[in-house]
Amino acid sequence: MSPIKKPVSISDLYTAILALATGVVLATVLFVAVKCHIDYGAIFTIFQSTR
Amino acid sequence: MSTLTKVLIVLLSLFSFFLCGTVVTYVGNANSYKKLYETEKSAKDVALDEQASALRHYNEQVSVFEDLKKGLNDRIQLLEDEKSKLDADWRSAQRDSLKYQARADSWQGILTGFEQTIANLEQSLKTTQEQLDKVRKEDIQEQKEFNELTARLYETLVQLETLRADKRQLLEEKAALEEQIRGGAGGQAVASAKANVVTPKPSMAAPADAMPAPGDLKGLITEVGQSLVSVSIGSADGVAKGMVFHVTRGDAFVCDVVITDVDTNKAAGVLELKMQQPRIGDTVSTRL
Repeated sequence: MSPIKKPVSISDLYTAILALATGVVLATVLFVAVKCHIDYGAIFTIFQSTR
Repeated sequence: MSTLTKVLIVLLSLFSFFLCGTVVTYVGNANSYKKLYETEKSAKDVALDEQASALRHYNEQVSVFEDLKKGLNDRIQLLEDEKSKLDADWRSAQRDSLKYQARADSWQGILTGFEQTIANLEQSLKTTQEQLDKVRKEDIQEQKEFNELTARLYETLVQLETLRADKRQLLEEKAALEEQIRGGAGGQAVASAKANVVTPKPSMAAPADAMPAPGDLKGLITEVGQSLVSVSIGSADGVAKGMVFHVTRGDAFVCDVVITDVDTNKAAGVLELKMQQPRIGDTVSTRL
């Protein structure tokens, strides 16, 4: 029986790229949320025209 | 790690970078509609306030205009009434003017007639005055002739009286002589007859004194009645009843006064030929 070979991370470069991309997405989400809260007072509410 | 996984990680990362950049750019450049809403809302409130203020101002102006309009209408009405009254007054004044003009024309005609009448009366007065002067001259002449005749009459009467006295004396002497002749007295008879004559021998008839010519008597009027006047001269000045005095004022003839009552220092008479009403102080004289 062959022994199970434990996976070993071999490339920290791609992990860092993924982390960076994830951070960028999170920062974007945070920016959009803050912007929506400042401009509209809500984050997920959909405003409709009163006219 | 396979190569495919690595490629996918890289593509995913690139895509996420691109997408996040796009989203951030879009959201960052998007309009702030809340801010625009607030701005528009404040502008709307300001506009509403301005509209309310303008409406209030409009209402105030309308009220002022209505008051002014009412006042002007009242004033127009008053002016219309005054104009109507002035028109009526003007028409009345015009009628009065025409009436007075017609009356003035009428008076002008009457005045012309009066002037003609006065001229005729003056001419008539002049003629009458000339006739009166002529009659007065004739009257004076006749008065003179009458005085002369009266003097002759007095003279004749005196001569007649003298003759009567002579006749009576002669008759008495005749009666005495006849009585003595019958008694035979002789020569003493004549003397005794003359002694018995009682009728005095009248003096010789002499011509009577000439009647005093009416002198130029002058006086003043002292009293004036309705038809009687008193003058300041009387019998002491030679005034007699029936004398005619001429009353003058300056050079104007006023009237005549016929003396009816004479006192020592004054006389009274009635008015004749009255041209004007005599006044106290007018001159009276027997000659003009």
